[in-house]
Amino acid sequence: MNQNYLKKLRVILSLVFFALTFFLFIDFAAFFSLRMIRAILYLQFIPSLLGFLHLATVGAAGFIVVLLVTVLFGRVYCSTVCPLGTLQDLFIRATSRTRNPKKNKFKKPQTILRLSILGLLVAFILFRNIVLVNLLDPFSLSGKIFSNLVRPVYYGGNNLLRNLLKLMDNYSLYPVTVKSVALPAVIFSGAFLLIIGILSARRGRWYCNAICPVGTALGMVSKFSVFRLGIDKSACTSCGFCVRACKSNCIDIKTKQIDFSRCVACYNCIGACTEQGIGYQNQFQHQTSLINIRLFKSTAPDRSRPVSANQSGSIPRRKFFEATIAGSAGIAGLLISTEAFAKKKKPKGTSDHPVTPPGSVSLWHFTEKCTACHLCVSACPTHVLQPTLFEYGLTGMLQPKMNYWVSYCNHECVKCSQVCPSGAILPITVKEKDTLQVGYAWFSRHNCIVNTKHTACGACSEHCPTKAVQMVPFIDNLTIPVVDEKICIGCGACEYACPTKPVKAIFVESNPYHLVARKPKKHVEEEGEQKKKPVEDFPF
Amino acid sequence: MNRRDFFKRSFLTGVAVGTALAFGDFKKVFGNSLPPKPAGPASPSGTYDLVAVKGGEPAQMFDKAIESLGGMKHFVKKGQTVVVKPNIGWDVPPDHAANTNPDLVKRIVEQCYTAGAKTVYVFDNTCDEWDKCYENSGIGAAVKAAGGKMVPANSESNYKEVTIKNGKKLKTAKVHELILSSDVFINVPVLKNHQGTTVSLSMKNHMGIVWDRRFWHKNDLHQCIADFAAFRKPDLNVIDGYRVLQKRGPRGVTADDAVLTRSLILSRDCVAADAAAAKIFGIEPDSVPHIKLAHEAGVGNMDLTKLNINRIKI
Repeated sequence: MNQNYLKKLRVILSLVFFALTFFLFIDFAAFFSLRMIRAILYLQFIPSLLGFLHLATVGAAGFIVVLLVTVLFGRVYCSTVCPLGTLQDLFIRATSRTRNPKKNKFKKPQTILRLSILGLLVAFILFRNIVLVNLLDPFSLSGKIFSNLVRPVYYGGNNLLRNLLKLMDNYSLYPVTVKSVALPAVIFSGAFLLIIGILSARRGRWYCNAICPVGTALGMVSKFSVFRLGIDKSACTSCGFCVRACKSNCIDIKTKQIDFSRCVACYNCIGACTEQGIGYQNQFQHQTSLINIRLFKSTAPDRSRPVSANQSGSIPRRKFFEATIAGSAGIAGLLISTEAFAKKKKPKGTSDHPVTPPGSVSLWHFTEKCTACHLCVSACPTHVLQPTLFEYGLTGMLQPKMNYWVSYCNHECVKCSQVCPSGAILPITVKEKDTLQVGYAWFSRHNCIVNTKHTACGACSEHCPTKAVQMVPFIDNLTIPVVDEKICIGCGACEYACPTKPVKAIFVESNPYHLVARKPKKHVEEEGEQKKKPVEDFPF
Repeated sequence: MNRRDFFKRSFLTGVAVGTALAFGDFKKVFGNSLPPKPAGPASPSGTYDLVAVKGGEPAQMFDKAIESLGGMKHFVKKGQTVVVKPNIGWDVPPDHAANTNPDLVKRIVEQCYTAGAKTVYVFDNTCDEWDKCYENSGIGAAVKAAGGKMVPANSESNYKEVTIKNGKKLKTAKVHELILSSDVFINVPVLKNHQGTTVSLSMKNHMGIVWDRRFWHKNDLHQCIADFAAFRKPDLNVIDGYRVLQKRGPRGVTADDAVLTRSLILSRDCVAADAAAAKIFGIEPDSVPHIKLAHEAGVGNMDLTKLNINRIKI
């Protein structure tokens, strides 16, 4: 059974998916159309699933397609669509020379660990807490890496090239600035990149088969796939080439069995087999192999080691993991209360809670849905969306907020709501956004330049798109801001523009539930007077 | 007439005469009733201190105005680099009048090239996202159509620190390198209301060629504007008063905030240009602190009675 083409197909598909997803996260020029973005993200499992849970539409049914493919051919997702899978493959390939392939052996599955993580994650989601997805979902983790680590480098490269072109009087490229470095997100992404790099270099796709909740879930399905990779026992010479090529350490040459629940469908083994003895087999025609199916038990007992050694080696580890998981579950349980963080006291001059982006409905909707993939952070043209650390509470770590110190929300822009793959920021139109109040401006006269220095300013009113911030007469021919909260939409232009530091004289107080503001007044109505008619003559 | 009426009338007359004398602007009292001077023939550069045009389309008004100053060739010589600096601060369409009229900018760029300019650069350090402003204002497309170069000005690396001599509040500023390196600087603000500085005109438009505006806001905005005006006076100021944002400036909320005024001011002197524009807006120049401060510092002359003005009606 010559199925060598499968690997080529897998490599091409994975590189295409990876390149598109990768570029989506670093692009600043809005290269992709909305339809393209949707298409690229369609098959990403967790975002699609979360989106579907909120609004069951065909547009968010990508995960069902993934499940169907898995039912047919196993975890094809893990080696094509998943960006973290391909990232690990790149690491594995880059470090292939440092490994001795002979040491690549069949390993026992981390059944308890992976099932516990998945179970805990599901339990957390049932308790409306998304922190484990945030920390473990391969798409979101890749997003964090691309957005926080690669994007600044890409910006730098663009600026370098732009400056070279500028020397030739060519202004076709423009510079982009990294307006703010969200250090916690950079550190987290960097640390994870290091861990996943070392893990993949040393243990292949260990993460996918021990930690990754998507890997575990799809593994449960692939256990029952219609077509599974199998070894043709009549052709097998037990040479072990397939075992060496296997990234998941799931081929047991002793029993000539492949633990298909751990197989990431990379098809390396097919090419490695000199006898062409590995390939997809229709499992309904091979009834015998069905007998071997026991959910998440390795179908191939490890006979390479004595039984006693095996036990002494694995049980303490298992206990260790169990204890760890139980412990973290306990701690996490304490943190589940989303109310806890809302009561935190803060110094005056900032909002009580973070301001969530327009379309995110409420603090609760947003924190329950956002997996912190940071695609909105990448896509935001003004860079107002910035990752936080614990501002949403411990379990909301790294979820982005509207950071009005860095920038403000562009009045005509709904980019974040269009790209958000998980439904944390729901799609809105520019017209809806016009009156969508994510917060409202709060003015403190004590800090205002006009009051403290007696000089003109008006930066806040200048930037206000709805003129909720108006300048009214103050002493000495000066004008000072007043805020009309009813028409304020909380875009933060005033807070961003306000020159007082360290405490802004005007800031946006978050609306825990987003409200609808009144439409900005029409100039004529507001004044109750006719427009000034232009003078016919020169007034000088 | 009884005694009371007599006192009343004398008092009112006194006030009227006194006011007129105090403002020292006698011509103004009768000025409006007099027919405007007919547009003079093309005169050699320097004859008029200021040209004011009314009643036409933006490009048409500019053509008339620059012609009366002797044509663009008096400002732009063959092979020179020119920077045209309109106000492109906001992500709003042209009818909001928060940005300079794109047709006007286009004609200026065209005229520069006709006069033999090597390259015409156009930029603004925008308030909203620069690419959206360039696009939505219509200026990006207009400049490209005229063959000019739209230059992004959103990166601090393109601004060079300069010292402001005699600056009272503003001692240093980071200025865009094209302002420093170009041969000709044409300032093309839009005439509009500004809730912080009353009006936004030529000198206020300079805030789009520097990097750190927040410092200005924090350290006596009017003084900073006046200080900077002395640093690099534009070679020509063209104030676009085609549509005038009367209220809720500098951004405006709806197109309703703007009034079709069809006027244009041209002058080498940014203070004089601002003074004339303030009058068109309906306020006295000396009620705008930065115009007064710049006048007192000798940057230019806000006293319109002392200027040779060409008034053109279309």
